[in-house]
Amino acid sequence: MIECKNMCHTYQAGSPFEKQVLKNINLKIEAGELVAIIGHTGSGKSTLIQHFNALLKPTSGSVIIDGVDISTPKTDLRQIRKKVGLVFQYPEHQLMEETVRRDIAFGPKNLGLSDEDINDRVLVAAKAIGLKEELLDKSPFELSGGEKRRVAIAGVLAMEPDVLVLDEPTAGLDPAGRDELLALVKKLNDCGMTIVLVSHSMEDVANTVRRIIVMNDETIAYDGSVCEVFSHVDELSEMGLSVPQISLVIKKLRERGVDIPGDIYTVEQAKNALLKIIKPKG
Amino acid sequence: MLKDITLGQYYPGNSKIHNLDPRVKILLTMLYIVLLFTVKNFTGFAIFAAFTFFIIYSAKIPVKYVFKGIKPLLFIILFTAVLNIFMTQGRIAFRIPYTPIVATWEGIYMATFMIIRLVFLIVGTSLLTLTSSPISLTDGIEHLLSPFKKIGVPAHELAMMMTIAMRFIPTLLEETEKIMKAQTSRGADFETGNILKRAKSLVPLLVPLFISAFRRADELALAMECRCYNGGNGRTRMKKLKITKSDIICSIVFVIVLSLAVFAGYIPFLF
Repeated sequence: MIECKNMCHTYQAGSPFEKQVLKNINLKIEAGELVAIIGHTGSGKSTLIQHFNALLKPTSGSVIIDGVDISTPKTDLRQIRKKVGLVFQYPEHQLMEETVRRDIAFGPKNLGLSDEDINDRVLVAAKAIGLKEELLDKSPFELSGGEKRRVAIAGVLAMEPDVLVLDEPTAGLDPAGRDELLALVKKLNDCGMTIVLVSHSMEDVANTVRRIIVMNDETIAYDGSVCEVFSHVDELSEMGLSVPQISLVIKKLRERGVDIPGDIYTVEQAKNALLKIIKPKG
Repeated sequence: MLKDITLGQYYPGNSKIHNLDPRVKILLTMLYIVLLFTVKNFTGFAIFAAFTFFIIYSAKIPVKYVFKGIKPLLFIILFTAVLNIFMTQGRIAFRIPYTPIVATWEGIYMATFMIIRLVFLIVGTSLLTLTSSPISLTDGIEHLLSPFKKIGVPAHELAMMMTIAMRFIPTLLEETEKIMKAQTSRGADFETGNILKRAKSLVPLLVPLFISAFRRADELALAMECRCYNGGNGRTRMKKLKITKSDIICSIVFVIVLSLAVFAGYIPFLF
């Protein structure tokens, strides 16, 4: 679905403010995957995902979306943007219409759909994201922060992309709002949508995704299943990324000689493993 | 795309020109502009050009970078030139076929003059902003305006407003680019279509931008009040501006060279 080959990106190449942000990125995301990209601020994750729908083009190397190289001249970028929906950080800042309904309809309208189709899509997207129908005719600026964010995400969902890329979707949400949103992301993935989730919160992604890509120093540091990535506790901490607290507890336990597997990253798993150890003795 | 605007952008460096006192730089730039419009012939402009290139060279700024600032104003420059060529009375140079529109030699002469003047006007003023950080510039302006406080000019407030405005130019540009990208990924199109369509397509960009600008202003005002900001009275500064020897030397050289350029206009046998 998405493939990067030796991809590099340099901002403002040739000026004194030149800055390389991505170096030699090689990755492949298959259809139907639920992937998280993590890394601390400035590690290049936001730049990376902007290549996924051709907002940025690689300075060298190539990005191939569904078989189409985005750097080839005359590529229909709209087709790519239709396939890959990108939800930016704080997407509620891009709301602009008078009503929620019209704001969600902005994307489909740009696709040139008929009014009926647009209306259908708005309703489907609003339902999928859990927006009540009575909110649709309110002004988006009257809504609460969490609701605004949902409206903004619905605006991208209404374009019915194959891949949904979310940049820090949980930033600034309260714990309940965060859990709801992550559950929703999972549900969308169950329905067959490929999801790329960008985050710096390990706890968030540990419970949600199956595969993690860790960015550090402009390049990919790790790429693997959740267990694999979180087994590098020390290296991750060195990169300034906090592993889930439960992983730290498990690691300390192992250092003290407790016989417990090292690939535990959720409280649930830890509970089961610990019960297994305690029960036979008790 | 938006980041390509040079006009009013600081080019960090540590040259003699960078380290001049901002007050001196502002005054000299004003002098530069005034004298630019009193130059009467091409010899004068040649001296001006040589001197300007000398400043660019000693400020260690790539010449290309300075002249990039002209690009956005190219249309205005060409427009003025065309107007001058066709609207000036005088000896006919050529006539556009089948129309009464006539170009004159005097017009062409005037147009060349205008182009040179405008180009150096832009280059000269962008040299000021390229070599002085916005903070030092507003500091200089505040100092230069402070004598007018007596007649009720709010020098400090003006300077503060300018500092804030300049401080937020890059922030707002960044914000614009972000919103543009967000709307582009929702299928918005800012680049094609006729003027009317393009103007309309700016609505999804401008509305969020205005909202965010107001939000930022509100937050900034609160943050400033939280730190007990209440205007310029009794405020001291960390960096005091000081006129040094090199400021004086530069000013003298500047005045002498540019006066030469102006006087060249009064020497009859020079072209």
